[in-house]
Amino acid sequence: MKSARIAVVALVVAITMNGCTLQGDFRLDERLQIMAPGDRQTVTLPLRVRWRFDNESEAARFGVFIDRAPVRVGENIDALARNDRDCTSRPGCPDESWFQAQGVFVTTKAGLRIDTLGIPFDARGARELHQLTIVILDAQARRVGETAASVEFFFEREQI
Amino acid sequence: MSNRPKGKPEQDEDVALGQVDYAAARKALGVTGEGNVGRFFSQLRSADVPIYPLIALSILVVVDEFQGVVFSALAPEISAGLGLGRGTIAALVVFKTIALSLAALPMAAFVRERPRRAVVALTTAFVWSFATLGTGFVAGGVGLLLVLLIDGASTGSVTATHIPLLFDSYPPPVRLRVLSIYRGFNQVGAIIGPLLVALLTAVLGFTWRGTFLICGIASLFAATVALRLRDPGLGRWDLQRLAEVTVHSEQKQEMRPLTLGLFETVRRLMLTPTIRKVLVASGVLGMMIVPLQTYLSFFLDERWNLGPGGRGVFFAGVPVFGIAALSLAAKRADALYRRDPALLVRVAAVTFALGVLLLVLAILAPWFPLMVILFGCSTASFVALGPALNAALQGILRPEMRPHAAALAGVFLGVIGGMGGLLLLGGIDRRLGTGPAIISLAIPGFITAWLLAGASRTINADLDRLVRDVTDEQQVRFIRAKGTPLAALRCRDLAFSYGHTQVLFDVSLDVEEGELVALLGTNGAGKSTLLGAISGLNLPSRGTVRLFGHDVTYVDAERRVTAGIVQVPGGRAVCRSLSVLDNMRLFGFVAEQSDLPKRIDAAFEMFPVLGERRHQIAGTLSGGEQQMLGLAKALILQPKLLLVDELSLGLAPKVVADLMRTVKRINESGVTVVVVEQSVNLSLELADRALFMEKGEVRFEGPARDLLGRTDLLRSVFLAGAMDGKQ
Repeated sequence: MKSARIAVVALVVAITMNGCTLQGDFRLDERLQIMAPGDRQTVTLPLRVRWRFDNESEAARFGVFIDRAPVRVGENIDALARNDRDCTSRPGCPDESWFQAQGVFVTTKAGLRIDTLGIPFDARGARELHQLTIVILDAQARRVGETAASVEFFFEREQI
Repeated sequence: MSNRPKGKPEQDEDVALGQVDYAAARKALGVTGEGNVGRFFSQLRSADVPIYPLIALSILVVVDEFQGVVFSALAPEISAGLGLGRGTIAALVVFKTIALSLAALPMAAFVRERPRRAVVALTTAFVWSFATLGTGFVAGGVGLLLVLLIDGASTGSVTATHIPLLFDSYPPPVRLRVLSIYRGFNQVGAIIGPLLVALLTAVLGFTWRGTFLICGIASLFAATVALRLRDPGLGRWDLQRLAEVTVHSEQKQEMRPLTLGLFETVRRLMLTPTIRKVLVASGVLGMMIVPLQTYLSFFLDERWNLGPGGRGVFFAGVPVFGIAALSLAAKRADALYRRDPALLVRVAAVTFALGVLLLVLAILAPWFPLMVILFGCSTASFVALGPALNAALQGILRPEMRPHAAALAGVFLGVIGGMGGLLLLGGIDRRLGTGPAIISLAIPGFITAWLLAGASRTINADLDRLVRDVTDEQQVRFIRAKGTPLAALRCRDLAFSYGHTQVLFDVSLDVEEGELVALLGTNGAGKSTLLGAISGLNLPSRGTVRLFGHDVTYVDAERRVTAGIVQVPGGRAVCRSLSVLDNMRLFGFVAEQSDLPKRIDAAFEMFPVLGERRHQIAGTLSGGEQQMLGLAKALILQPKLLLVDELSLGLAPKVVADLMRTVKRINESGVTVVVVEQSVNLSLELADRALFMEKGEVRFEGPARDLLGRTDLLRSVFLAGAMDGKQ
């Protein structure tokens, strides 16, 4: 019984220590909405992404992530380069071109033009399904809150 | 010298009790041979059983997958919210699946000896409810992994406890329909889950966190409703009735559970032919089901352009076909089971194969409505006879083993088959395309059906085996209740095979306490194999071995040594490179270490020559001394039943005679002895009673001197010397 009690206490502590905190929202934040492309729409390049954020004074910047998960809440987007030895060994990296190669774009505007799209890792044939996620960043490019908007779109890649 | 058994022989009662009425026994288990099925509620009323356990467990099975459903549906939102990649999310799901598959086994072990399945079912229901609720509060990948593992492990109880609980809560006449209703609620859960997610997110505007929170609260409410669930007791409706019809109508006490360990129970299950076939079938089924779940989403996406919402509606709609099939098939399946369980298994196999065929047709269908109908009919075929098949398989097992069987099926399906399927078939969709990849899954599907059909050939034999085991146990109870001493060794209907070659055929024998019995027979008659089955070195495919009434048939050989069964193997039973003393110490592993020197001294007293040579290397002893050392080592373990195999092998007659006298002395000290010996004249001088085996069967059992009169058995080549010596 003693070991069972210890196990229960350890479990509670582990859950608590692992960050079961009340930091996310329980109701949808509909202030951020992607206007284009539409969900599951087939697009062509260059891709024009447009979105709307009702309280723009709150957002210093927007982070746009294509085919990858955004950074965690409170994390700076530079953290994405953490595991890239090549980048971390180069002065000035990560820079804009590095981020774009990773499918990450940072902008202060509510729109973006994307000229190239990488091939998703689970692509099946020429018709690719991509995912685009937009989050809110502060002036230091740290993610603010869990507010996010996502959309899936198709892209027909020309076969060489 | 005659050595009378200390107890009164039990054979008289045994003969009277040994008449097994298989027809009555099968009827008690619900196999009446007739197809008549009464009305469900009137049968519930006449049996005076409440509907509550069915309702409670059905409610729990509706909510048990809430976390999984929400997680699948809202994975992109969780990914975006927590900043976790798709790969991480997929890995978390794999960990949860493994936890789900593996947790059922320890739970089965926990409920084996005492009927506490209801406590486990309820406790885990609250645990998974809190895990679902807690998922709404996680802040990172580690926290998410933790709640997923807790949810996976706790929902493992559904596999391990729910069906066995229902099985013992309801009598055979309504049991199959009860399981069908329960399975129907499982399908309802598959409908409600996605709809609830859609309602909470799309209509009521909750985030993934809010959705987990609400679903967790709903699950908590369901667990609270089920709080009055109680365990009905192991084998309440079948084994107790079986005991009544097979032995004695006054014997109504609850069956005493076996004290097999987890792995012993698993081994026991694997030695049940029907269960073994079904577990293999589960593994092959996993190779089909697990990749199918993945490929199907891609298929709907690519072929029919269904997004997450459309797919959600599709997956929520498909179980409707399952519910319809269950409601149509439940009564018919019940009737089939009553007529013949083998017939039910065959029909289930054919229905499953039909489901696979319909799945292939659904993938090839040119119109969306036709695809939906074909896919729904395929699902209906898979689901329709599942509960009946489950009932038929659980019905051939002792109650305490049912949770293990269910848990093992989960392990074979999810871990062995599922993971194996992903490894073998992962990525074939990229090479073949999603549709052809799903069609290729028909191969494991048809193999599953074929394996299931194979189980129909053994299910009736396994049902009879259960009847025989229970009858044997009841006979022992009866003998014990009468105060008659139980045999030191009691074997019933032992069968053993080396691969496909059967060596023992329904061997039954009794050895009374204090007896010395000679086991004789030609080479290859199965004598040593029988000793191995008694000592635990060989595990029989059928039958029982009891030591003073305790069933040790599937107990590990090491535990049998502790219980008192010690075997001196044929040949030189020594470690040749060790000294005599070290040989003794090595064998004393189960003795209290403080007690070991005393035991060794006692053995040296019986074998003074070994005492003199205690530091000599065993391999340098003479053949007779090495056999003496083998006996001395056995004595250290203080056996209650000593099995001596071929002591005289390769020894001079005088040495053999000395050894035999030693065996006699050991027997006179109170140890029950079974001696396997080629030298018949020696054996018959030594023993009062003899057993003669030929071709794996006992041909003679009786006083040793009577065997000498059986010239049909003692062929001249084999026994010329013996008969000359005696006559």
